[in-house]
Amino acid sequence: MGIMRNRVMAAIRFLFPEYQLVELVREKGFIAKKKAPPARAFNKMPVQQPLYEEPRPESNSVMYTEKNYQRVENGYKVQERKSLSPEELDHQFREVERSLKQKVIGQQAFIEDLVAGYKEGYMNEQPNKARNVILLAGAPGTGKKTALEWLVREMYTYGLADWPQITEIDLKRYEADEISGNFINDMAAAFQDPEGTVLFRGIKEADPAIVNLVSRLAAEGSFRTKEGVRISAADYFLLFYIDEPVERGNDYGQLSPELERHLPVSILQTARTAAISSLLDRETMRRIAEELLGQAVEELTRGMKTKLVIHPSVYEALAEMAETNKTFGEAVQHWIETELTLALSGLRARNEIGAHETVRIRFKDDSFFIESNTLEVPIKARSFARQETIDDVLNELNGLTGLESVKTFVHELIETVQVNKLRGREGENAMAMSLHMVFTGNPGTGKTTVARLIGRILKALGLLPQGQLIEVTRQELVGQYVGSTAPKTMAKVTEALGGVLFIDEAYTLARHDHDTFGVEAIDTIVKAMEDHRDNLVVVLAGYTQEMETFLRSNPGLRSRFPFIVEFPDYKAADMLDIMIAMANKNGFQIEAAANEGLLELFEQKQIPGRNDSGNGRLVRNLFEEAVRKQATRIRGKKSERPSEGDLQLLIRADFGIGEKEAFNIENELAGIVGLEKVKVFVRTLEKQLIVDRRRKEAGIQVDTGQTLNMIFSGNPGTGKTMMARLLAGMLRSMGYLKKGHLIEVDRSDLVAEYVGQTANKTKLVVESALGGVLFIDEAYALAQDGVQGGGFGKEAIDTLVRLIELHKDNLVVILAGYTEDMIRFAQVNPGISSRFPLQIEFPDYTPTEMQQIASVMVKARGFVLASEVSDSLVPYFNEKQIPGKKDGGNARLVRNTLEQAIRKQAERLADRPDIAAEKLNELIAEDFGLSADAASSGNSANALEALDSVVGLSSVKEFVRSLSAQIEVAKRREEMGLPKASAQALHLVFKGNPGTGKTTIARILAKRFNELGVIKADTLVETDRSGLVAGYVGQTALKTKEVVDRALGGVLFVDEAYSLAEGDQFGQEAIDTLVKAMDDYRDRLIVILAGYDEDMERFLNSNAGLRSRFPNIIAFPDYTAEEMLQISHLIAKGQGYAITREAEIALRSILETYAGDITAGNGRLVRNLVEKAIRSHALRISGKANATAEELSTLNAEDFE
Amino acid sequence: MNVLKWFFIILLYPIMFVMMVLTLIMPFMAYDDLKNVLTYEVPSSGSTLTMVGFCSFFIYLAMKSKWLGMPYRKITILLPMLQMIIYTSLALAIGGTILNKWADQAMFSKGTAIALALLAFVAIRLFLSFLYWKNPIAQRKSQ
Repeated sequence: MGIMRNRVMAAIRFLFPEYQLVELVREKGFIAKKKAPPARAFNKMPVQQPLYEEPRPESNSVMYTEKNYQRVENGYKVQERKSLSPEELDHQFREVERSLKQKVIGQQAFIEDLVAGYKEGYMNEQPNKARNVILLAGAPGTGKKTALEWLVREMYTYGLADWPQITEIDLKRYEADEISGNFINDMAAAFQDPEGTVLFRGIKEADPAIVNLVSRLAAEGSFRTKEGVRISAADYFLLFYIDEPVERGNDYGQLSPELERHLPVSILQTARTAAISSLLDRETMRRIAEELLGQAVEELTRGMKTKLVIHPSVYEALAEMAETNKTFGEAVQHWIETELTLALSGLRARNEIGAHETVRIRFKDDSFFIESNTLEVPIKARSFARQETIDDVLNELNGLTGLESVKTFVHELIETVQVNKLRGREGENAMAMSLHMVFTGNPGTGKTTVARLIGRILKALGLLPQGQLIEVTRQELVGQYVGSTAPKTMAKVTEALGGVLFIDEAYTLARHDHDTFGVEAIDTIVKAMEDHRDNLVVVLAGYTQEMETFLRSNPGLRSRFPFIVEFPDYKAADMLDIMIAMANKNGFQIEAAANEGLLELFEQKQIPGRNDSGNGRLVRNLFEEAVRKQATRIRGKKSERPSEGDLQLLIRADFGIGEKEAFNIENELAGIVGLEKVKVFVRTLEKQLIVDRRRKEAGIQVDTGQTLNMIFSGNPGTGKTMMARLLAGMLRSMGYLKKGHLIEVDRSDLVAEYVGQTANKTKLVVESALGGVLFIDEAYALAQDGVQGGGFGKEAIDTLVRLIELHKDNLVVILAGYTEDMIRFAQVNPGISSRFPLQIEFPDYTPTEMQQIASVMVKARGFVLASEVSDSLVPYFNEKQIPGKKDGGNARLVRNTLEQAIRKQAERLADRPDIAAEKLNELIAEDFGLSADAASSGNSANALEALDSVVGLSSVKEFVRSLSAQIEVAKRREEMGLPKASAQALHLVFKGNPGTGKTTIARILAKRFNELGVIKADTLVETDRSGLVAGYVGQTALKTKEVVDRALGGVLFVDEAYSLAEGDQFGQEAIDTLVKAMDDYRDRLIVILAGYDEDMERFLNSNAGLRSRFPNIIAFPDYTAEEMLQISHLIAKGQGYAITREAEIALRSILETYAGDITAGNGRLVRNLVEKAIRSHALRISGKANATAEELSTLNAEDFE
Repeated sequence: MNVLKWFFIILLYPIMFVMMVLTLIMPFMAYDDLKNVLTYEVPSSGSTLTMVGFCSFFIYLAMKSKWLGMPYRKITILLPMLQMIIYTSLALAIGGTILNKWADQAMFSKGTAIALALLAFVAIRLFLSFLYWKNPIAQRKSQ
């Protein structure tokens, strides 16, 4: 009856399809929901054949309401399942099993286990618990997953499940901190349906917390996170997937104890049944291969419109290889996907296989071939013929020049890996290998090339899936702001997954401790290395030393990089090989004659310890330069057409190898004036070189390598820098240095502003000077840190000493500075003097030498010296040059004089337009101020005249006259060639009250001494205690020294000198320095100490040596009243006033009241009185409108009142 | 592009709505025509076939283009229903044409004409049934 009714209903439904509209409204509602699929008026997809699709994680648009829901998604209709009777269940599952066995080959027992496991789930349903927890284990490629997929699909078809899909969750993908995020989200998405199948994989590598949650889910059916999200696995099938060969326990799907090795115990305890796939034998494998290839062929035939015929040998070969490889079906599938399909479609796309052509695939001679009527192409069996591919890469590696140590390392690595793999294949426990490496070495030593090869080797070995090389540097890892580094780094790591992450110059990530960004990047990488242990190889590269420091910066780093490979610098022969290879690759030929020259060139250019421009890159640069030069050479020969061979030939000249110019030392030295000591040294070096060459010819090997570090001491302008530059060039020509450039630095270039930077800065400077000469000017300043220096200078010295030792074959260091300073400096660091065996003193130039220099300079500037000038320049320089005075002497004096002369000449010529053309560049005596000397000699009387004009002080005058007479006579004797009287100590002590004219006399004395030629300048440096004594301990000597230096060649006048002996030790220090300077510069410094009578007496008594050093003590008596009147007349006269007779009397009476008062001030008192009188005179006269000129210039008695 | 699209929508959507309403009442109009022909034995103007064509064109557009069919898809059953109506109207229109042949040109007798018209109608309806049996718009239980 019911059937009848159903039939009628069906007929009505058929006749009136409008009924479907009603159904549609029931199903989807009247108003369409958002994003509803297009109306299926003409649904192209046949509903009866469900098309299996991978579950998509984002497909969260599943909606359900209650238990009796209806859902349609992706073309599936969820079935409403009635509870089945055991008989029905038996029947259904028998059907499922039967069709499954047809589809999955050779896994009968496994399928039975699996189906039984599912059936069990329906038989003893427990509320709020998973239907069943099944272990799915077995070697990869044995069809575990295929079987499961088919099972679920069949169950859907038979109405046993309402969903033909499996949700797969890879547990090892989640980090510990992702539990509350991604993990729970994915779990919730997987378990949101009322029932289904969820497959967990990557359990062994998963985070313990995640394993814990999953095991609780399996055991109790649900778990709840801290955040309150509840995941329930009620009515679900949970599967744990193990992709490793496992021994089948017994026949009843019980767990074998061997599984413990592959799964955490907590999970293992929850598993109720296990389905373990067995290994496939050759015959089965062959059938599987046939099956898989059959599918592939069908698809390929459809896609390419070609007929494919597979030769039976292919199945055999595939089966055999799959079996030996133990990856079974996967191996075959892999071969089909990555090799067969690619090769075929490639050929088809290039039309090498035409449409409808018959293509045969055949296996012969150990490889697969694609054959058609026209061609036969081998398919490279990469996944199987592993040995071959590794050999390919190894060939490439062996093709690299040099790098013996690296090659050995790679070979060892390969062997280790292979043995390990072999062990794994035999079922032994394969050792987990960490393959991260550190490559250290200079740039251009092939680190990147080898890293790329390593990537390919590891891929060939099957340790890396892709083997790509991602090359990064610091800036690609480090972000701009806090927190952006980790994601940036992680992005790079993700890019490198399955391959090699190559971090070039990795040490930049930990330059210093405060580099939080770098540290963050390191931490991220270290973490990623742990997370992707079997999927990522990190290779760090950088300079040897820096990498050492870097690896030390993070304690965990070194242990994570078991392989540290040093890339040695190339030898010259290696570089020649590289050059030839490079030339050949680019289609060039290098003439054989050039080889020797090239070897020498490489030897010369390659400087050990210098990080830049060496090795492979040097070769490339030289090659490119040669190509450029060759181009110019060929273009130069326009007349003849270059032949084909010429165009490709690189000759010696292109590399800049010519006949070596014979090095002529005398030519080089000829241009240097004076400096005999230096010249002698250079000559010695050259002789040594000649002897060396002779030894070499005789076949005797000796090591004459020596430390050529020098200390140049001498005053400025004595040619130290010039000498250093010449020396660099000469050493290079002689072959001691490779580059021969001069790096000139001083303290500021070596010392940094902040703590810890100095060593770095110094190192950079030294490295830049490698192969040349490092010239450190004013080197002693490094030892003069003072208070602010903070020991930086010392740090620089220490670094320097270390680096000098390190690069002793490639670097000549020259320290330069003032003689005494350098001596002291060498004492500061004991390592310095021993490392600088050559200490060359640059003496001041003699006047004759200076005259020579002047001639050279004049010539160099295009001027001409008038004939009379050359001769008169010698005495001129003799006069100007003050030995011991640091500034303004020597060559610099010559230059300044010359420049001044040029200016003066311009002045002279500008006023005389009629001058002859050839005279325009002539410098005459007048320009040098030499002719004026005669005029100035007229001044000689002036000093004595000035002395006469001084009022009173007759005893002083007498003394001065006698002194000057003595000197004059001594001079005359000298001129007449009589024996020279011993140098006389001319230091003086002036004693006297204030205002007694001490300073005036000193000034006159300076002038007179200058006239007599005792001193070279008439300068008088006036100073007192404050000018000599400094505020801090240790500064006084320096300050005093400065003053002395200033006074050199003149007179130093120390006023109130007695105060130096009073109070503290600072004054004492000043005295000591002063006394020492007096001794040192006996012939160019005259010191005059001045002070009050008694005080000076006390002062001279206080220091034993003082009195003897100041043999001449001049007492300045107080002025008498009469003398003071004279002075007042002089002062008034000087200002244009006259003093009347009455005024004189008044003044005398005033002066008499001061008699005997030492504080009165003598001359100063008179000056004050006269100035006061002038003021009161002005006041008096200002009231008088009609004052006469006489009244205006006459001082009356009342003015002095 | 967007401007053009909106311009089109503004221009086309009102017409679409008119067409929808027209399509909905079309079978009744066709049936009325038939009835008139039978009752008064005078041929009708025979514009139904043209109208069916015109309406079909709009339905076709709606199915071809996603955004032209937007208003149709707002109501789940609208598009299939309109399709069914078009088929039915077509059946009626062809029946009307046959009747017209009798009323206008007296090609065959009234009885024959009615029989032929009925036959045409039933044939087209059966075809419709078959079409929707093959491509159901609503899911049926899996076999």
